[in-house]
Amino acid sequence: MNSNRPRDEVLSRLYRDLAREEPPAALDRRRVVGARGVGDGAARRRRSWILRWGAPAGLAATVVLAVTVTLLVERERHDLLPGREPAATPVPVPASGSSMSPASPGEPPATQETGGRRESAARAPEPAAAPPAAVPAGRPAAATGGRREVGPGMTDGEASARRAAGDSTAANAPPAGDRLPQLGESAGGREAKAVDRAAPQPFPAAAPQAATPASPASSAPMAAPAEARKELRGAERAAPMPAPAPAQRGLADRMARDPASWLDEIRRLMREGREAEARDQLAAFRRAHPDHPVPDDLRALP
Amino acid sequence: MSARDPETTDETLMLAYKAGDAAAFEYLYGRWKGRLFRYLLHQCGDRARAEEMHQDVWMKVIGARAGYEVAAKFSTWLFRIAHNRLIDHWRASGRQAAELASHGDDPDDDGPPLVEQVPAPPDEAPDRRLERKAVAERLASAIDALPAAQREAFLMAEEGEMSLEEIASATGTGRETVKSRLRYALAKLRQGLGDLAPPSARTTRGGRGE
Repeated sequence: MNSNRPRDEVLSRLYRDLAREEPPAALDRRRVVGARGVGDGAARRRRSWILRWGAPAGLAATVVLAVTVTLLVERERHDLLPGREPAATPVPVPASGSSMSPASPGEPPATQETGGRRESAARAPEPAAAPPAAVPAGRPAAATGGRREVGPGMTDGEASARRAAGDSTAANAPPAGDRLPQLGESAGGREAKAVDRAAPQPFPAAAPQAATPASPASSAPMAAPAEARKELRGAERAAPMPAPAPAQRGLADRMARDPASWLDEIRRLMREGREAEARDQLAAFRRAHPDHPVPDDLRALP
Repeated sequence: MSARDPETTDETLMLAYKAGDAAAFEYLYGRWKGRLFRYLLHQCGDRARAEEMHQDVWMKVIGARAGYEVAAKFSTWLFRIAHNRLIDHWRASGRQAAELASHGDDPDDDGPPLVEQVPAPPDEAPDRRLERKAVAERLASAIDALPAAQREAFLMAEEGEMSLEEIASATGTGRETVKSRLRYALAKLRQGLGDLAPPSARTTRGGRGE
C-alpha cells in the first residue's frame, strides 16, 4: 500500500525510535470520559423519553381503567335489579314529622308494610323488585340484587320460604339493632307484622303481592298479642325510611316473581293445611299470570 | 471479534463506537492518540496548542460518530480532521493557511537551506552513545524546520502510515503534489541528519510510482 511512496528506512526507524511524545494522561482521561459521556448521554436521552411519557401514559391508563370499571359496575348494578323500571320515579319522602310514614296516614296497611319492610330480617319474604330510586341514600343499591340471608331469629322455614319466594329484601334490611328491641325478637311480633301487611291496600294490584310474603310466616299469626301488634305499628310509623310507591313495587314484585316457585309455594301451603292462604295465593297467581296454566293438583282448590 | 482484538480494524472499532460501545473508542483512541499528537505537535510547534487541538480533533471524532460511514480509512479521516483543525489554528493565529497548501512543492520556495534550519548538534562528531534525548531533539528540530506542507506529508506518512493517495485525500491535494513534498522532505532530513546513520544503512526507496 505504501510501497508507492518515497521513504527512507533509516529516517523512518530513527523517527519511530525517537518520537515518543504522547498527550498527557489527564487529557486521555478527559477524552475517554467524554466519549463515555456521549454514550451515557444517549442512554440518558432514551431514559428521559421514558420519564417524559411514562407518567402521562400511566395517568391516561389509570383514567381509562377507572372509567371502564365505573361503567361496568354501573351496568352490573342495572343487571342486578331484575324488576327495575326505568321510568319509576322516587316517591317524595316527607322530611318532617315524627311518624315518617311515606304514605298518608289514611292508608295504614300500605304504610305499615313499607315501613316494616326493613324492620326485621326475619320478616316474611318480599320481592326485591323495589325501584332503585326508593333505596335510601347510603345504602348500596346493588345490595338489592338478590342476596339472601337468614336473619337473626329467623326459622329455617321462614328462610326457606323466603328463598322459595325469591325474596331479597332480607338482604336489604338495614341493621335493625335500634328497632328490633322495640319490636321484640319473638316470632309473635314478626308474625303480627305479617298480619298487618296482609291487610287490604289501596292499590288492588299490589295487594296480592303484599299478602304473599306474609303467608309463610303466618302459621301462628292469630296468636300474636294485640299489644305487640300495636307496638309494631307504632314503630313502623315512626320508621324514618323512604318507601317506594306501592303500585310500582307491586308491579315489580309480580314481574320478579317466578310462576313456578309461586306454584310451589301454593302447594306447600296446601300441604301444611293452610287452604285459605293457598286459595288467596292461587287467586293472586291467576291475576298475575292469567295465561299460565294452573296445574291439575291446584285446580282442585275451590 | 471483540473490540480488544488487535486484528480489529480501526473502521470496525469506529462502527462499534457508533453503535454505543465506549470500549471500542478507548481502544481506537489508544491506537491513534500518540500519532495524532505528534503530528499536531510538530505541525504547530507548541505543546499546549497541540494538546488543545488534539482534544478538539477527538471531540470532533466523538461528535461525528453518529454519522460515521466507512468511506475511507479511519486514519485518513482522522488526519483530515486534524489538518482542517490546523488550518483553523493558523488562520486564527494570523499565519497564512496557504502555507500548508502551496509551500514545499518547489525547493526554491523552502526558504533558507535545511542546514541552516537544523540546529547544529552540540558535538560535530557522531557519537554512538549520543544521548537519545539529544538525537530526538535534533530530529524534532529537523522535522520542525521543514516547510509545513512537506512536514505534513512526512508526518502523515510516518505517523499515519498513509499512502500517497490517502495523504492527498486528507490534505485535499493531488497525489503527485504529495509525492513531491514527501521527496523533498526526505531529502532535507537526510541532509540534516545524515550524520546519525551510516550511509550503508540508508535505503531509499522510491516506490513503483517514482
